[in-house]
Amino acid sequence: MTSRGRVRTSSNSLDPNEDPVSGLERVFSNSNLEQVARQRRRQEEQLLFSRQLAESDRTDSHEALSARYESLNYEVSENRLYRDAEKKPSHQLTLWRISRNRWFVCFLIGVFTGLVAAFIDIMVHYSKDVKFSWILKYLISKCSEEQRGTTAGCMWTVMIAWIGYNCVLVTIAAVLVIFVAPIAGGSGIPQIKCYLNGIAIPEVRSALNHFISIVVKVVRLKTLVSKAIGVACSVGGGLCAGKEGPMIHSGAAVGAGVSQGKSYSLGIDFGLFKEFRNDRERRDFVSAGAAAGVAAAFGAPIGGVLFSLEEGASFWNQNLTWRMFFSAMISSFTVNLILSWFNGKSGWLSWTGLANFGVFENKDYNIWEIPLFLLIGVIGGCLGALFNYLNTRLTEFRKKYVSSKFGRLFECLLVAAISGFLAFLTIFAIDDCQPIGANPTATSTQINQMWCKKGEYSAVASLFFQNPEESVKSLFHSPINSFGVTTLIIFGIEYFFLTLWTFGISVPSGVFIPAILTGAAWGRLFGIFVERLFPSVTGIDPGKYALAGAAAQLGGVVRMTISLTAIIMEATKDITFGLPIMLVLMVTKWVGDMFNEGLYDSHIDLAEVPILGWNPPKMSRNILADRVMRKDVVALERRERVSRIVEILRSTLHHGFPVVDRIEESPYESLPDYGRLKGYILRSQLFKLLENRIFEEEESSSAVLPNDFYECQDDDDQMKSLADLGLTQYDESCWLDIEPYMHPHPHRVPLNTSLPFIFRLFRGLGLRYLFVVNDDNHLRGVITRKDVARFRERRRNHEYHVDELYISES
Amino acid sequence: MTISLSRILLVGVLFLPSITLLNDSAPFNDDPWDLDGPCQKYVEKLAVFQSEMVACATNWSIPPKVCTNCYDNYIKFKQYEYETKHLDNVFSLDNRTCSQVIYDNYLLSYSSDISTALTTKIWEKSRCDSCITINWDLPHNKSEKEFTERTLVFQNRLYEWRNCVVNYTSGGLLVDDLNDLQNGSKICNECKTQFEELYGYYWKIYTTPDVDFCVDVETTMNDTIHLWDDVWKCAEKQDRNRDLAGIMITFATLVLLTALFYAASYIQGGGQTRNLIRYSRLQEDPRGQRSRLLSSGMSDADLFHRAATMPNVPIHQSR
Repeated sequence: MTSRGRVRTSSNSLDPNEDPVSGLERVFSNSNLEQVARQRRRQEEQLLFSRQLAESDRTDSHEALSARYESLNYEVSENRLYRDAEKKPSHQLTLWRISRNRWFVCFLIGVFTGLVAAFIDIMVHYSKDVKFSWILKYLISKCSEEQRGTTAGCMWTVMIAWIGYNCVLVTIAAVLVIFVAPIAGGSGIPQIKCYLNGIAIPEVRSALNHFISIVVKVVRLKTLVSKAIGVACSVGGGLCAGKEGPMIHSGAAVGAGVSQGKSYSLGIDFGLFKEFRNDRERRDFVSAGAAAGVAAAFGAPIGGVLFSLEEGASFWNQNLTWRMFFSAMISSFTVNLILSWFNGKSGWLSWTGLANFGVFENKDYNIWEIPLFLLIGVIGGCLGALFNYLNTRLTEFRKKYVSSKFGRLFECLLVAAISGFLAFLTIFAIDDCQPIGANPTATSTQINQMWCKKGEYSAVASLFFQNPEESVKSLFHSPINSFGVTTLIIFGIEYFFLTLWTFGISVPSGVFIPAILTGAAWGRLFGIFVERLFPSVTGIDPGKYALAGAAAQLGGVVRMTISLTAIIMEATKDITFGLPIMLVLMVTKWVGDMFNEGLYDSHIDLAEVPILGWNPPKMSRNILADRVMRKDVVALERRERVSRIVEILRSTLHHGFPVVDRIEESPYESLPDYGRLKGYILRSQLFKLLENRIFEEEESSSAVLPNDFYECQDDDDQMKSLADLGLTQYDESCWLDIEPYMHPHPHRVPLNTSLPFIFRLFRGLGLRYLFVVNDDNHLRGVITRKDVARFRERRRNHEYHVDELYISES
Repeated sequence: MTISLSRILLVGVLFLPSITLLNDSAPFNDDPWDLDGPCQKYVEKLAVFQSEMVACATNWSIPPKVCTNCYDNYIKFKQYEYETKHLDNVFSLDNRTCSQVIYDNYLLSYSSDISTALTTKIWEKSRCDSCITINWDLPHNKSEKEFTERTLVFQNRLYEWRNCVVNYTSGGLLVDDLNDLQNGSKICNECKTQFEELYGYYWKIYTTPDVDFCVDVETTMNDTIHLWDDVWKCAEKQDRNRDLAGIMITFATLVLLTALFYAASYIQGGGQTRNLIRYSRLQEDPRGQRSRLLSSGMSDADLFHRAATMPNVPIHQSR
């Protein structure tokens, strides 16, 4: 507790409450006795507090919110400069330019997202080529030559080579994540979800925005590149990982990057799109980027727009939706164009998405099958809940115990090695050799001869050694006899647990495709059982049950609803199965929500992000603003001495400060008595003011402020230390008039406002601050996102309670 | 044919009540009511070529070996199809060319449907181009076929192997003693090299992407494998047990590593304690430096003193 030690030293010095310069009238009226009493009282309270802290606040409870997350800043600071800007003659032109550029940026987002997605796909393709044509074919044939006449086994050398290759690729992915760009790990969807909820994820944003401007670009490019290369490596390295989630994240990163008009790769500021360099505009472009990412990954533009709507946007408008759809279309168009060129059919735009599930030829289903689909939904809900429970426990374990860098790297290697090994073990254990030609859909590239007689191939191997997307396709579309029951059971179980183990290690990896694959396996199994139960009904195609199972498993894990329905329908290019898919997902969500929340939400909770859900906590109507707010507000007066501002900037990390007409010592409490709320000013704005020396004493008040001063963002100046400003002692003795620069009418609520009301304000308006005032507009406290988010509803014994979470400071 | 038949019937019903039904295998050519009469003979000729091709395909359907057996019929059929498509000098009674009559679909065009089926469903689906290259020269009726290199090589190796087998079965391939196990094992030993070569070549092509054999070769090879493996039981058992040791070692190593890794992490890690704060308890007591910041009154001297001595440590704060 360094702060306690600091307290002592400071209280031993001159009386800290007195300032002969700013409080001239007051200081002299204060009696010495009062001062002494106040000082003693404060010391007693500190002692009490530190005891409390020692007793109860050091717990290992994981239910906490981390203090390192900040809100994004969506509000325009409507100061005098902002109003004056509208009077300029060029303003009309600016308005026109902004709306034109929005479309242009959306176009660019689509194109670049498509490029990234195509890049990832092509990398995976080449990696597959190397693996299959070189390792498998070459080594196996070499093996069978060597093996002739000897008794020594040789196949396991193939296995070692295969595992080794996987490990090398996964090492690349893991190193990129662990040592280069930590945020690139995982699927990225939780991060996007938080960002769109209005939270600056430190690694995303601090990496992206809070560093010095040049570093910013490199780091952001780093994230994107690490993500793209990393995901290609982890998918190529045979992990149970999908490339779809990372593609969505890449799309969002592209959206954030392109809209800023700076070239991150070259470290060049093109000076384009300056009007978009704020959180408000960037949020829109990030959601467009996420939509474009989904569109590129699944060939599902509508699903992409719905994804952004469902997972992200608390804020919505029609124009934005239309622009997002435009981005999404452009991105799937770009992917098609590139892939058609790559596959030698230039200009063929009807290329299917990267993760298309193939078109069902037999689309029949009957009304009597609906209950079966509902049953699949129930199974999916239970399995998904189980998956989430186990994965959450595992992630907690990892967070606590596997935290060193090399530990995490080693874990990745272990997962890679065991994933590869299990595939071989399964082929070794299940003797599922079938003569070549048994499955007419199997192409020669899928043939794996391992441990089979000449002229036979292993049917299990074709599931394990294909790309996951191809396995999904063969589970959906192969004839009924292609996969045996044992094969499906073993494959399903293995894939379930491998996915469980894989999701959360430090490589870029999505959960979409693995969940779909697991679900397709047990769904197909379900279909086979249905076919055996009702042998008289012909035409039961296990493929459609595989599809329903895939939807159920994925829905049970991520708990997405409409966007998932749209994505699956678009990926199968068919609306016929719309009803069953929707029913399955609906039941799945109901069943799953009885047990726990979706995987992404669990991970967000584990990361202790103060996210605001769709609805305020139940049973919170009687929690009022004076309980929610924090009373110890660092406020400014309208005219402040520079030295105090510097001190405040130096010792706090707050991003904005309320401005009141006066601050007086309260004779009754340790907190000061704040005057009327006049406005608030951002930290970055103060910084700019100090940097440009807009002080009263000097005649330099005409010094040029940046045009977009009212948009002042945290971006560039945040990490610039105060020392860089080079303020002299003379500067510090100057006065600063804040009034023209502050936002004059911040949102405020009275003391008796209820928590649900505050919650809706925050959620609906994307607020960062909410000031609490009494009846006379005297400032009484401030509410921030963490103050609202720390109240969580819990369900115990069939009753709702509201719990207050801890805030963790690390 | 049904169309013209029904047309005749209609005509017959309307005008010629006494007409008798004609033999439907030979539609009449000189019916003045049939505008397309002059083209009829070409259609009939095409029908002959089509049916020859169909017959050949059906004859060679178990196992499917169309490419190597029906290429003559196919070339003839394609040749005549080409000619019917270029009947620009022959006109029907209403002055359309016969090509138009035959191929501009009226309601249905059986001839072109059948032609398409023969081309795509039979010839292309059998991947015949992988085995036979046909240098089409339709205008001059000089199309030439040529077996591809890999098919020929395959054929040679197949013949070598078959010769070998025939030698050791004293000429009679279809005698019962082929199924005799002893005789079978003799074949296995003697002709193993030939079989290995045949199979090796086939497998190399088979597993190379973008290089295929046609269905003929594949079925031939599948049957050969079947004969060799299942009938004569020559197949080498792929003994899984040979790899058992290697797999077990790998398995043990990986399990051990996993267990050790997690056990070690569990024993070592988890020591982090965090500073957890309950905001509702903070309400009344701003601490230390923060309380100084709250009020507007601060001593300049004190300020500079602290700024000099203290590093920039983020203190307790919430926003």
